[in-house]
Amino acid sequence: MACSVLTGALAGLLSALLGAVLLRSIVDPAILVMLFVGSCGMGAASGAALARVMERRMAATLHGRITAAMREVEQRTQNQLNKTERVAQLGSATHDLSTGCLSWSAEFHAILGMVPGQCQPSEALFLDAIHSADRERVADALHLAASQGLRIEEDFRVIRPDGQVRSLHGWAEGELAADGSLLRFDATIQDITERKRLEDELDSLIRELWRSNEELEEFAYVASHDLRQPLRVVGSYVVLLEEELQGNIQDDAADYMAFVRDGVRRMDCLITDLLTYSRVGRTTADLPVSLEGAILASLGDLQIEIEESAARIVLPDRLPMVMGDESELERLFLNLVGNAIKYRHAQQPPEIVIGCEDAGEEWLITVSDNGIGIPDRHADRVFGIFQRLHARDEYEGTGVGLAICKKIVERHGGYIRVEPDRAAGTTIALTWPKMRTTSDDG
Amino acid sequence: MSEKSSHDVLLVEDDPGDAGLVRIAIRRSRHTCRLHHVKDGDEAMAFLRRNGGHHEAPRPDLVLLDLNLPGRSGHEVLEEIRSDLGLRTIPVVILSTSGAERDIKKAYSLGASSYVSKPMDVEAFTAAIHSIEDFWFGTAQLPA
Repeated sequence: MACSVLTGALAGLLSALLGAVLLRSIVDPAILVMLFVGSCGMGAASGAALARVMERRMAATLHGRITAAMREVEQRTQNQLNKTERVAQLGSATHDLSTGCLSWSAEFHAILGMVPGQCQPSEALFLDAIHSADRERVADALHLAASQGLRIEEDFRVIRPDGQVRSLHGWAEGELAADGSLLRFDATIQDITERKRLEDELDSLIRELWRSNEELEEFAYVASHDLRQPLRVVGSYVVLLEEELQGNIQDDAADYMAFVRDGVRRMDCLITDLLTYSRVGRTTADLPVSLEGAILASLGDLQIEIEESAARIVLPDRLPMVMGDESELERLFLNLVGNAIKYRHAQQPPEIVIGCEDAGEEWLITVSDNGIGIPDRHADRVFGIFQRLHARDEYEGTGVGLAICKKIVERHGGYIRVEPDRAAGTTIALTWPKMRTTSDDG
Repeated sequence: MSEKSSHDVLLVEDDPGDAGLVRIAIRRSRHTCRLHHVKDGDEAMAFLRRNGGHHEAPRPDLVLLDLNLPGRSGHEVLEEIRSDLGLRTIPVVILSTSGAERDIKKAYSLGASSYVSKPMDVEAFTAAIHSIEDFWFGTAQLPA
C-alpha cells in the first residue's frame, strides 16, 4: 500500500513538477511542499484521495494563474502595441471572418477622432468618416483587397467628428482561404497630414523656383533683344551723324559725340556681361572636360591681348579631367587670364602662372600674376556684380567678370577667393571637385 | 546668276531706326534694289498677297523679316509664308537683334532661308546687309 501511496504522491509530484518546469514562476512552490508532505504523511486511501483533491485544487490554481498570466501578457502586449501605434500615428483594424470579430485599435479610433467603446467599429462607420470626394475610391480599393486577397495602398482624407480634415495613408490586405473566400482582413491607417503639408509646401517652393528661373530666362531674353535694339539705333545714328557732319563739327560737339558713342559701347558691354552672368548654369548636364583643353581654348581667345602685352603664361605639365560645362570652364579662364593681362603694370609684361594641385577631394587651381594686385580689404568685394576698383579711364571693365567666375565655380561645387598677403601681383585660387571615377585622372 | 537688273526687297520691320539703317545700307550697295517697307506682319501678308491697298505690289525677290514685331511675331509671319503655296518659294532672311538659340532654331525649323543677327555697329550692319544682297542677288539662283 505504501507503494501505491508513494505512487500517488509521486504521480502528483511529478505532474506538479512537470507543470512547474513548464510554467516556471507561475506555480507557487508552497503547493509542491504541501503536496509532498501530504502525500507522504497519509495512509494509502486517504493519501490517494488527498492527492486527487490536491491535484484538482492544483489544476484549478494552475488554470487560474495561467489565465491571469496570459491576460497580463496580453494586456502588456496590447499596451505596448497601443503605445507603438500612438508613437507611429499608425492605427490598425482587423476583421476575422472565422470569429466574426472586427476590432479597431485605440490609435485607429484616435486617427478617426473617435473614442474606443463609444462607437461600434464597422466598415460602414469607417467609410462614413472618409471625405466624400475620396470615399468611393477607398471603398473600391477595400473591395478589391477583400475579393482578390491583394495588398493595396491609398491616400485619402477623413473628416473627424469635430470637422477637422486629416490626410491619411492606408494599407489593407485580405487573406483568402483555398476556396477563395475571405478569411481575414487587416487594415492600417497612418496620419500623414503634417507630412502632406510639408510636401505641399516643398512642391510650392519648387514651383516658385521654377517660375523665378523662367522669369530670369525671360528677362535675359528681353535684355538681349529689347534693351539692345534702341542702343544699336542710337550708336548707329551717331556714327551716321558724324559722317554727315564731317568737317563741319565743332571741337565740343565732337567730344559730345565721342561720349555718346562710348556710352553706347559700355552699355552694350554691360548688357552682354549681365546676360552671360544670368546664363551661367543654364546647361542641363555636366560632362568630363579636359582642364588643359579649356585653358588652351581661353588662351586662344586672348591671343591678341597676349601678343600686344607680350604676356608669358606658364601652365602645369599635367592637368586633370574635371566634371563641368566646357564653355563655362573656358569662360572662367578667359576672365581670370584676361584680368591678369588687363590689370598689369604699365612697363612690365605680364607673367602669369597657372597652377593645379591635388587637395584631396578637390583640385586647387591658382592663377597668379605680377600685376597691380588687389588690396586685401577689397578681396571679397571684387566678386560682387558691377564691382570695380579702378576708374574707367585707368582700366576698362564692367565689373561683372569675377562675379561670373564666382557663379561658375560655385555652381560646380567649388569656391573662389583672392589669396591674401601677396607681396606683389594677384593670385586667384579656386577649388574644383574631383571627378568621381575609379580610374586615373588621365 | 539672276538676270534681273533690279530686285524687290520686302523689309518687315517696325523700328524706324533699324528700317533706316537697312535703307541706307541698300542705298550704298552695288546692287540695284527697290526697298518696300511694311511695319507689321498683317501688312506684310497683305503686301505679299496683294490685298488691302497693295494691289500694285511686286512679288519680292527677298523678304527681310524682323522677329520682334507688333501683333503677330516674325516667326508667325514666316510660318504663314511657308504654308502658302504661292509664297513658299520666296527666300526669307530673318534679321533680328536676338541671338538667342531658341529664336534661331525656331526660325530655321519654320523654314527661314538664313538667320542674321543685327550687328551692333553701323559698319558691320551695312556689311551684313551687303553680304545678304551679294549672296541672294549674286551667288544664289532665285526662283523665276
